[in-house]
This record gives sequence, structure tokens and C-alpha cells, in this order.
Amino acid sequence: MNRWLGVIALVMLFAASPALADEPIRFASVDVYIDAAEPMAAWQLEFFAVSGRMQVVGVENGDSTAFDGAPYYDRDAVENGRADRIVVADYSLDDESALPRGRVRVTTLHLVLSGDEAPKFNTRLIVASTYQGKRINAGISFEIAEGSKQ
Amino acid sequence: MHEEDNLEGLPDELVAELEKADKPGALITARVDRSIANLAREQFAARPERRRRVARAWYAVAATVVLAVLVLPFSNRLGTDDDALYADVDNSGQIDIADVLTLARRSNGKVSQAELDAFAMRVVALANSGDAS
Repeated sequence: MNRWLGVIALVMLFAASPALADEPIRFASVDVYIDAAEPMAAWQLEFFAVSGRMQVVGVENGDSTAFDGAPYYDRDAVENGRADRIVVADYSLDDESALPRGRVRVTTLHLVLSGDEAPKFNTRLIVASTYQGKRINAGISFEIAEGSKQ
Repeated sequence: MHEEDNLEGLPDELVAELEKADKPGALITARVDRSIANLAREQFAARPERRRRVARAWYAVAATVVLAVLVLPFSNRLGTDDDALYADVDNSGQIDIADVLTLARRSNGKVSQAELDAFAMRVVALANSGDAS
């Protein structure tokens, strides 16, 4: 369901943005993973481009049932085409046994890429914590699935 | 000088009228005197009470103004930006989603879901996170 919402958002953005329509654009989705050694009850990350131009046009939740709702992000910036970077976060009040540990996909970002330069991305884990609020040393990584060119 | 002498030369009608008016005044008895005194006392006793009532009304107005001056600055701060809620709850040195989690766990339902969502939305707002990167 969330994937379809992301696709619809992409189509709407493409239709509504003459600036983007003037130059070749392509779509991409990025899966972001956090690898936590302890059960994780809250996480917050930042994703941004270090080169090239991109806009975040959709944000999905990840695989864990503890974080089954849409994560928190700046919806206003995404809906108004101002999200050239994004901060995504979520927390869960589930029991510790229901919280994810190890490598887990926490979110998928849908991007519109524009310009000739191939974008390079980076992500930063702002915080991951246990259900007691203790900070966890966790790893963060992402995988890109480039979409079709327009 | 006799009184009769003063009336000499005056017209008879006038003399008759003056003699009619020169009757002794009505006798004020002690009872009437007491009644008048009591009425006067009541009249003067009522005046300070009225003044007191007016003074009380002014005190109320003044107190309202003083309260408004003292309370309004605090109420404005609470209404626009509840810093007590959107704070570094876990004392980590930064405000992030872990503070929202800690607040949600500690509040035992006293903080509404809408307030927690607002806190989380503030945490991820791009305008607020620019200096954090």
C-alpha cells in the first residue's frame, strides 16, 4: 500500500513540476538499514546527497512490525518539493521482545534524481536507542534501486 | 422701640398679613427631634458603606490588571512554544526521537498521542535539523 502511495506521489510531483519536466529525470528508491546489536525501540537518521540533485518524494515504513506505521518525516517539505535531504525517525512502545535487533530495513525513500551528474548519497544515524532510552551503537547502510529514466 | 410703632404708616392689608404670618412656629417635640436625628445618622452611616463598595470594585479592577500583567507573559510562552514538553528529556545533550520515546514511557498516558506526534514532527523538521548534521 505504502509503495503505491510512493508511486502516486512520484507521478503527481512529475506532473506538477515544470522545472523537473524540462530536464531528464529518473526515479530511484533507497532502502535504509540499521544494524543494532540490542533490541531497538527508537531510531532517527538523516539521508542526503553529497553530489548531484535529488528530491525525496516519498517515505515508506520498514520491515519491522514494531514500526508498522508511517515513520515521522517533514511531510510539508516532501509534499512541496523542498526535501533535498530528509530526516526520518520512529519509535515503538512495544515490549522488548517485539523490537527488532540485528540488520533491519527501517525505511524506503523514493527519490527523483535530476541533472547529468550521477548523485552520490550519504546517510547518518542520529540516534538508536533501547526501550529504556539507552543509546545503542548501531550501523547504518543503504541500498539503491534505480528506476526508469523519463 | 415698640413693635406697634414700626407698623405705623403701613397699609392695613399688609399689617394684617404680617400679623397672620407672625404666629409662633410649630413646636418640635423631643420625639420629632429624635426621629430627625436618627434619619440623619442613617443617612451618614450609609455613605461610608457606599464608598467602601466603590472602593472594593476598584480594588477588583486593579487586581485584575495586576494579574493580567503578571500572568500573560507566562501564558503566551506556554501557548506558543511549550519548551517544557519539547525538551532534552533524557539529558543526552540533543533533542531527538529518543526524547519522544522517553517522554511517552514516563508520562503513563498523561501526554497525549497528539502531543507526542507534534514532538516527533518537530524533531524531524528539516528547518530544525539543519544545524544538527
